[in-house]
Amino acid sequence: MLVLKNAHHTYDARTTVKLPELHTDKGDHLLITGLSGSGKSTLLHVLAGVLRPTRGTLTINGTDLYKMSESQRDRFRGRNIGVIYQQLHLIDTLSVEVNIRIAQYMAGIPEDLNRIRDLCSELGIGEKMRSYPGQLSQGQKQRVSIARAVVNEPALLLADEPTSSLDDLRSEDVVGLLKKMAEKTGATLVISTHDSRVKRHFDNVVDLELPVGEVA
Amino acid sequence: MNLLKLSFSYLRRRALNTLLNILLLSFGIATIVVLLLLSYQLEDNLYKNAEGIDAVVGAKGSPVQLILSGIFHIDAPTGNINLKEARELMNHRLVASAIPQALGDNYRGYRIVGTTTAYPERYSAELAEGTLWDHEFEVVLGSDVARAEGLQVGDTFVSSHGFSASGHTHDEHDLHVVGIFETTGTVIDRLILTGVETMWGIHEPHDDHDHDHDHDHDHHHDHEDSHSHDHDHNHDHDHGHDHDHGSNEIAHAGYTESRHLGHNHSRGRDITDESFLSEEYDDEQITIMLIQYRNPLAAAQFPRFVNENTAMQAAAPAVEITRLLNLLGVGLDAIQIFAYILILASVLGIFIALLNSMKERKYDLAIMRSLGGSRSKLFMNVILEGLLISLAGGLLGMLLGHAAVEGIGLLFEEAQQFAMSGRVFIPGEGRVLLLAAGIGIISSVIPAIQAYRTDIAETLSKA
Ligand SMILES: Nc1ncnc2c1ncn2[C@@H]1O[C@H](COP(=O)(O)OP(=O)(O)OP(=O)(O)O)[C@@H](O)[C@H]1O
Ligand SMILES: [Mg+2]
Repeated sequence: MLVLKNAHHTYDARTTVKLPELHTDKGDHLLITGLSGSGKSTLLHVLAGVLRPTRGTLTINGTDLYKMSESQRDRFRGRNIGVIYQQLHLIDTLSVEVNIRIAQYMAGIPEDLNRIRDLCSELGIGEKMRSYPGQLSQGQKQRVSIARAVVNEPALLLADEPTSSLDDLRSEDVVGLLKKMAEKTGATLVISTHDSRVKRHFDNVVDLELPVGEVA
Repeated sequence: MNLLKLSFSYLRRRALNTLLNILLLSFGIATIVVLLLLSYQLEDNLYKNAEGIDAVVGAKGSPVQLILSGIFHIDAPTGNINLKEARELMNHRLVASAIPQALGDNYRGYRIVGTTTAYPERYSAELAEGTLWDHEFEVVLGSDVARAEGLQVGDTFVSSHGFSASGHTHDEHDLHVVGIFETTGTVIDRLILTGVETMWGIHEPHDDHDHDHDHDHDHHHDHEDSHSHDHDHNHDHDHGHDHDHGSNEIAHAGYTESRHLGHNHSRGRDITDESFLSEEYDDEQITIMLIQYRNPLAAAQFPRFVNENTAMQAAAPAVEITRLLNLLGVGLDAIQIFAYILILASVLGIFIALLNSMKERKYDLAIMRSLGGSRSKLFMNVILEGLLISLAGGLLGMLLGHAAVEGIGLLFEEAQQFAMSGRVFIPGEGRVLLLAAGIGIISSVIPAIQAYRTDIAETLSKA
């Protein structure tokens, strides 16, 4: 379903991040681990189709993502890939509901309020749909961010360090939620973390080494 | 969800700044709209009133003053001309028609014009009620006069001397309203028309020296008194001016006789459009003649002939109006520059606000891209924001502009002369809205390009 081959990304002369070979099937749950600076975010951005690797190919469901035109890739990403970023990046000027709705709008998918409502109550933020991000706790924001990522039922769900700012209990919660969401739609789930608490939930773990030129 | 809503949500976040920019722009736009409306209505009014009048003949003096007093009935006339001389000019081979005007009286600021029925005809004024005058002291009111003063057919009033409501009252003669014109949108609406002889009847024709007459004597007769029409009384009004009354006194005498028979039947003498030309009035004066030429060639010859061979002068409205508008244009240009400075300031204001807002929302833009939004969608989102501000400013500006012109029309007497209204829309305003839209686009295009160039990965990986 997801294939990453021979890829690395060079930011500048001193920083080249080597990306691992990946080959996952539909519904696989994959955990990416590594120290800070090892390239977890870089890998996830490449997988999300927002960062063209200096070398290498990425195919998702048989489509070579970086061979598409940019606007085609935007469209593909909107419909097939859901991302939860390390910083959650909710839009402060829009209510929770609209923050989720905008994912449907930007992807060009018909807006479905019922789906958003169901999703919100499933994620425990049903009461907060009219609130603005500034009025939410960190955990609630994260759930909004999850809702936004899964609302279009993506084939690939990516989460960059979803547990880094959470305590043990909630970190369990979030991993559980992500797995549940991925399972419901049969999505492939890729989570990155430097958090050892998460490891025991995954059979499939890829460990990244520090990039070339970096001193550990 | 749509782009408009999204743009709106950002405008709402910086509501105060948005409001300030809208206001700034609206003041600039309002100034332009005011200028447009005023100059358009002024020009329209000037040319409409002067249509078909090739020349205005009156006493020597400023030609602009002659035009203003003869056609638009603002400003004082340059003086009077002798009927005898005027009559010769009426028969000049280049003159197709000449409309006489005897001026010098008003009723509460509305000028009374002694003329012929050709004058209202010139402006296609139709009677709304009543008839035209065919006796001395019968008047027909312009629609504004009737409305403002609440006068109806059958009412009577007394005139005041001069051109402003403060002149002394000629209370020895009632003027009888016999008709009211429909609204014409021309100067007629604000005039009181009557036969030439009426003007000679209510007071002595006066020359330029007459002016101190207005100020020196606060001369009020009460109305009871005014019914005792004797000649001595009439002479009280001369205030030492040595006029030769001649036939006029006969007219007064005749009038006074019949007057005493009762209001309804006391109409003064019969008058027609030609009766004032009678030789018995040879010593009388009129103020102005509106001339129509027999052929276009006259434009070159007639004014020169009048100016060189008579004590009168001829002025061409087309020439003088153009001169006047050019003069006015200089002043308007200065105000227009001010308006454009306001608009430029608002362009900068909108630009800076959007640019700052791009910094705040670069993560939002990146996330929207990440959610599948295309670069062009984000570009449009920012442009739309600029457009929303500028169109709001544009519409508010038009509203303010119209309100201001309406206010000017109501408050200033000078503007009333030109029937200024804020309730007219002119084609140029479409261009003002386009200008506003252009401002929105110009001020938002650079921020929009920034939005267009948002790099998702780079932005989102930086906290
Ligand atoms: N935009 C960039 N420009 C230059 N270098 C970058 C950029 N983004 C990341 N890097 C470098 O690439 C390497 C990998 O960074 P990345 O953010 O992928 O690490 P990470 O594993 O996600 O770290 P963390 O756990 O702290 O989030 C680091 O050395 C980083 O300095
Ligand atoms: Mg990272």
